[in-house]
This record gives sequence, structure tokens and C-alpha cells, in this order.
Amino acid sequence: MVDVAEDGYLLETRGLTKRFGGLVAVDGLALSLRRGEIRGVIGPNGSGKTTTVNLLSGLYRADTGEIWLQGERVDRLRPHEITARGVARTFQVPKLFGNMTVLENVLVPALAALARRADRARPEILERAHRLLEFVTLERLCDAPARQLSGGQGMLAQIARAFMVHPLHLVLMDEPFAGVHPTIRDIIMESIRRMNRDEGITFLVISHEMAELRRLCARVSVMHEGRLIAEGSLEEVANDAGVLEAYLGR
Amino acid sequence: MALLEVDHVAAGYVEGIDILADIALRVEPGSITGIIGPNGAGKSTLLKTIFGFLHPRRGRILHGGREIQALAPYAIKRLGISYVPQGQNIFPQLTVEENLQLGAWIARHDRAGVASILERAYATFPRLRERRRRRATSLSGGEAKMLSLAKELVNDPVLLLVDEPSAGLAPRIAHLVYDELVAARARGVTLLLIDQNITKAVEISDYLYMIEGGQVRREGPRGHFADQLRQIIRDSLLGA
Repeated sequence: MVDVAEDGYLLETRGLTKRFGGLVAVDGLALSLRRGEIRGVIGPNGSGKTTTVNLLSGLYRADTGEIWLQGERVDRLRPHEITARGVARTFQVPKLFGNMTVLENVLVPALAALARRADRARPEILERAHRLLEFVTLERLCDAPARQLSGGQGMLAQIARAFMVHPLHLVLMDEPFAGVHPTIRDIIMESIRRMNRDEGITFLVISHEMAELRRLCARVSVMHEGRLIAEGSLEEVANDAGVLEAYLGR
Repeated sequence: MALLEVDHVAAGYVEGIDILADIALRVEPGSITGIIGPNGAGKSTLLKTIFGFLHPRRGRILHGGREIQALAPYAIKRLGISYVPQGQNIFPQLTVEENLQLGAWIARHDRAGVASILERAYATFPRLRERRRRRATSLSGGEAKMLSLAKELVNDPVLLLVDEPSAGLAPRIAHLVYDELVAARARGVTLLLIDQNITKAVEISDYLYMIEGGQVRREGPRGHFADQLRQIIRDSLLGA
């Protein structure tokens, strides 16, 4: 068996397949992410992008295939076990605990670390939470109940929460820019860039916002009918005949 | 005069964020007008705004020259405008036939009229006849979509707003649904259609609008889009 960590990949999937009844949502997917890259994932509606993130984060269990993270097979692990290995995610529609404050939401990963006795010193945790909230411009709302946040602010809170996962290697983002105000888009862009640059975090970003992906990602992967049909720069994939056919709905 | 005119409308869900930025389009009577564009472009929001679920912050919506942007959905429905949202729009605890009877609500005092309306729905979608006594919960996704469409079509609305008619359907069933939309046009129903399946949208529409960022980026008759389809997709992939 190839040692996934040694061949330069942080994450690798092999033959990853997920069926829902007769529908094959993800079909033999082979996706590899290098450590430290920001990878975009695009594809027409229903091409299996969100299902892929749900598989990678352990929310769904694959029918067949493998997921390797830093040399360890993780496709049979539960979501919290995958998070404990340094994989965080955000959801297209922010999933926050509405009755908890924004700060408490951001502290949830630290609480989970406490439960598995992997916690850090309390002042350090609080300091990071406040710093991240400041970074995503939510510090002034840290004591507000999360249910009061707008959609865009909820996305920012989710992102701060994902960055609280420790250790953190990979962040999976499902449509972080969808329906978000341009000012908040810029904050999201900057937070991805900064975490990538300063902490070496790898990102997998599903998005339909091509202008943002173009600024963020050197490489994008294109999915169609559960399969990877092309990979490369946006310029390369936009000139790929198979990709054009997929977007034509054929 | 256009049957429907969207006159520089801005609308959104949250204060300060316009999903529709400034959208202007016209739907001519007896036509299928197609709306295409990437996810998040504002396509579904446009239909919700026309049907009165959202009220524009700016601009007007005119039906036969009359402003309707302040009306509630039930009042818009009374004008003969029907809406088939994405996903399913049926009463799951009722049977297939009861759902269709609700669709025929306007004709409820005319028993023979209701019977003939149901008969036409069953003739179009024989599968629904087989399932007529079943609760809608027991339907497959494709059957539920047929019912959802049939329920709105039974009255032959003046204008039918359809959001993603083929999403999640097997190709054979999607084909049936498109045939029915074309047949409705032949009966005089005007359609405003949103579709992710660009090829199909261009094939059946008389006129198309491509929207992105809540604005119309391109518009033109079918031929205009058919010729430039690949270039349009390339541009949108490049975020141009």
C-alpha cells in the first residue's frame, strides 16, 4: 500500500462511491489534494460535490472506495473522529447552535478536544477564539445568540469555528460565497488566504462563484455525475470539451 | 403588450443584500421564456418575487399592464398565474386524486368540469392514474414531480412559472415533463421556465435570458443562444 503522506498528498480518495437508492451520487471518485493547496471544486447541480464533502467529513459512509488522510485510512471513521484528525468543514446553509452565543459556537471544537483530552490551556483557547472572531469581523457580536446572525455572518461564524479545530490540516467548504454580501465575500477570501499562508492549512472549496475561485485556486476539479471529469486551472477546464458538455446538461 | 413585465426589480431576503439587483425582462403571450444562469444567480428568487412570496424593494411587476408587485400569492394565483417550485409542491398526506382536485379548486362547483380536468391530467400522466388512490407520500421523486406539475396545469393557467422541472428526474421522465410543457404552450399557456439543463431550455424556449448576479447578462431568441452556447458557458466558467 502506498504511503499517502509520503507521496505528497494530504488527502486521497480511491474509487469513492456513494449511492442513494438507484442514484449513484459519487461514482468511483479519485481525488488527491496536496498539502497546502487551495483546491476549487466545480460542477453542474447534482454532480456530487456536496456528497463528496459529506463523505470526506464522515457525515456519510461510502458504499465502496477508500479515503486516506496523511497515510491513514479514514473512510470508516465517524465525523468527530475525522475532525480530531484535523479535518474541519463548513456547510452551505450555516449550521450553528442558535441559542448559544457566537463565541460559544466558536468554542465548540475546543470543547470536543477537551472531551478527548487533547485540550490546550484555557487562556490560549479563548485568545484564539477572540482573535479569529476579530479576524472575521464578528468580535462585536461575540455575546449575541447565534440565531441573530444574518446568513453571511453565520457563514463567518462557521469559518471561525472550523479554524478552532486543533490540530487543523484541511478545511472543507461547501459554497462559502453563496448568497453572501460582497463585503463578507472579501472577508471569507482573505481568511482562506491568510490561514493557508500563515498556518499552511489546505482547503477544498466547492463553489459556483468562478470569479472568487479564480482569485483563490490555482487548480480546480470538475465533477459531473459523481465523477471527476477534469482538473486544472479555470482557463484549462473552461476549454475542456467534456466540461462544456457537462454544463450543457448533456 | 407583454403578458408579464419585470421592470427593473430589486429584491432579497436580508436587509442590505439584493439577490435581484436590477432585473428587467418581458414574457410574451403564448411563448416559453427560458431563464438560465449559474447557481445563486437569482433565478428562483425571480420566480418567488413574481409570485408574491417576496416583494420588490424597487421596480415594478406588470401583468397585462397592471402592477402586481404588491399582491399576495393567492391574489396572483387568482389572476391565472401558477407556480411550480423546485422540488415538490404537493400535499403528502392526501391522495394523488385529492391533490389534483385541489389543483382544480376553481372548478369545484362543476363536477363534470372537475372530472374532465382530472381525466386530462391522467391522460397526460398515465402513471398518476395508476396511483390515483395512493397517498402522495408513497410516490417516487419523478411521480411526485409529475403530480406537482399536473396539479398546476389542470386549470390551464394564463402563465405558468416553472422552477427546474427536470431536476433529479430520470431522463425518461424528464422527457415526459418537457413534452408536457411544450403541449401546454400549444394549448395557449404562457410559460416562464428556469432550467439548469441549458440545452433543453434553449431547445424548448422561444426567447431566453441569461442572468447572473441578479441581473440580465444576455438575452435573445433561441437561435442567438443556440449558436453561442459553448462561448456562454466558457465565459461563465471564467467568471468573465
